[in-house]
Amino acid sequence: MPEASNIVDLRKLLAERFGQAVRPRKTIMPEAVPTGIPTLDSLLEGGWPKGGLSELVGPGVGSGVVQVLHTWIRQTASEGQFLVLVDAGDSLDVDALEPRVLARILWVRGRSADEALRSADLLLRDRNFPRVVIDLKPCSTQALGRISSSIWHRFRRLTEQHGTTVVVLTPQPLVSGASCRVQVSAGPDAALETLRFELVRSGILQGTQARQMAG
Amino acid sequence: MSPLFAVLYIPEFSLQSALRHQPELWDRPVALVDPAQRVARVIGATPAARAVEVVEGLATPQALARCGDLLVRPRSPGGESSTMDALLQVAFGFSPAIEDTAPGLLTLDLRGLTGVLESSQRLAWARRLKTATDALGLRSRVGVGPTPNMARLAALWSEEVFVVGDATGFISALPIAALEPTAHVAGILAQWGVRTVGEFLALGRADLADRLGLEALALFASASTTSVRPLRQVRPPERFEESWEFDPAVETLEPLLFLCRRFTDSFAQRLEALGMAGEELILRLRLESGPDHRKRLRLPEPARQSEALFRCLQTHLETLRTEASVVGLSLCLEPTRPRQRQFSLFEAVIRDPHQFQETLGRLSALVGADRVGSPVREDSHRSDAFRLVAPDFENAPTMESRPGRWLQAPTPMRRLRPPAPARVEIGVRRVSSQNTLTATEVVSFLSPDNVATLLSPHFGQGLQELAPTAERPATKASEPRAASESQRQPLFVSSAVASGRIRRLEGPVRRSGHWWEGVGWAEEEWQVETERGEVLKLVCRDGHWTVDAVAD
Repeated sequence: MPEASNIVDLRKLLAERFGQAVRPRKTIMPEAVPTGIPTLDSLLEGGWPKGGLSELVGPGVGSGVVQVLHTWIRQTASEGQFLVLVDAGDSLDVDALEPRVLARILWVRGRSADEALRSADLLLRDRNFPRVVIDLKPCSTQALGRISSSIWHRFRRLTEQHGTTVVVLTPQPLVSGASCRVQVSAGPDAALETLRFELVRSGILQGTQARQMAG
Repeated sequence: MSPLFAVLYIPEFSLQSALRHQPELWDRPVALVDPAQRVARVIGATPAARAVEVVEGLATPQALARCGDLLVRPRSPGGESSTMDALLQVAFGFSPAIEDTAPGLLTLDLRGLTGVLESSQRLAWARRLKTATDALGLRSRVGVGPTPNMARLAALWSEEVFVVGDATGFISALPIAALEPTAHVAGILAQWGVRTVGEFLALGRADLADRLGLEALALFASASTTSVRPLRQVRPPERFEESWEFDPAVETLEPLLFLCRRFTDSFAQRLEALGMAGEELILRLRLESGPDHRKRLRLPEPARQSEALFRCLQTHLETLRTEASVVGLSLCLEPTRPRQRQFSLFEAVIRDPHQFQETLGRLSALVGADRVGSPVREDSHRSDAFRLVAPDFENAPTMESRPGRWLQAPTPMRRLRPPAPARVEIGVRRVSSQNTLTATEVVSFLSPDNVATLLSPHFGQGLQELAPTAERPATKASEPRAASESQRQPLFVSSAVASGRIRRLEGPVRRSGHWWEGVGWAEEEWQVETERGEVLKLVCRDGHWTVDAVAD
């Protein structure tokens, strides 16, 4: 393997001569979709897993879930992408987003968890939508309790199949088999930079995402 | 360059037009009658009907007497017109010079078409033309010859496709009836024993003119193998319309979808021939009673694929409920030029616009058309004033990436739609020595109506009894107001979503509008934080307080 050894030697030589310049830079993994919040991106090693079903848990009122959502929407718009928001509680604050951002949202204004999940099912079967948010946070505990776990299994398969990045916003851990689960809580002054994130490892992780999480 | 012509012939054009979308009826006895005539008589019949002596000229009862299973179909001039449009459009894909010679008969000038001029290519070309025409649901014949008349005779007297090679030999072999002599001359020629055109031509032009007169000269001209007449060229209409009458009326989706598929197949083929694409479909359903159902279905992007056109219709029809049975279906297509675009490398585009449109349609059927779309703020100062529009991501303006600025953006809240009624105490607050707020005067409560609403079982769960305390004295409306209007602030809130004393607040933001139109509105907005840390947006409209949003 003379050629391979030459390359190794060359790399060593360059590293000795130029040091920092040739050190491999840490880049965002192509499998991750940036959230727009540096601390969260750092925690998730780049962002939400692409082609994965993620869960953002925000217990109680004022947990910061909406701030995370709005930041991701803005991040998506800045990338020239678009995002689908399946809003079970019809609670998007339109006044808080810029017109250019609003133009990159497809908003499904649901009336219940059941309606939102049926809408999400339609959307996930269409491979046109790269990013989907399902906001179940406003739903009652009873309504969330009636959701069958098989729905999440189906959603996970659809997201993997079409490469869709799906984030489900919930008030409590709900999505079985989620690729990753993050719990968010507000800081003392409820500012975005003071949000606290905690990665809750899921018991059912598969494939590259599992390796990413483990790493 | 030797001239070359082709003729596309549809035998029994009226009957074929009537049965175009039901080809299975060709194997059954079917008679076509003209309802415009005073007495409806048979003007066309299928081979199965002819086999039982149902022929042209019979009155409908006579035809039914000869065949009890006979299906009688009315002639449809509108359907014939649509069929002729379709024929012209398909033929235009084979030659730009077309003559609409007669109903069901088109003459194509093939001069200049290098691919056809080669003798070896002519038969294959004629077969392609026949295949394309047959795809419209028609049974066509194609003739190719050196003159329009030769091509016409080849189409009329052949079975399917015929290319005239030796024109003289071809015309000579035809029966004399091919020249369409009058009955008188045909009788004379029959008495002479003249059976074919060749025998007729062998008698000599001058001698025949002496004996039969001018008609003989006309027959000679018809048999000419060199005479080329100029064609009256027409352009195919850019009109795409198909219709169907149901007998009996239909109540289920399947027959509609079946016909829609046939219509879109036809449109797709015709669009392909013209090099165009469909932009909009106009569906019209005639109902047994009540007004027609009309729907304009705009395609997400111009398309000529049958599948794309059909899916657009299918999505709409699957969600449609009519008040009465459907007796007629009409489908029009608005054509346009196909769009050619070059996308940039990083541009976010809809991968499959037709699938996207279909999904939007299904979502609209599920949650309501007014609850799916991209939000656009209304030109108003009123809070939460927006409308939903159809998403157009490809033309959406781009946004500059400023993550740092986002961090400074105001805290977004979760909107409550409809807003939750609230009970709010207003007063003047003063900061005590322990940096806590105390109310010295409470001057406003909710109106009695709103209190009743709050105390209803639906809203009553989160409501707490507001007992007078040392810090929050009871209301005394008659008490003289010590503070001015500008000093009064919300002190306490009680609602189904949050309740408690207000610890911090920001506001008021007062907005009003349309007061000049007599439908004016005014609202006063406060952003407050309760002592439990819940951040709310309180809005007062016409003296009624609501919680419009919650920080989450």
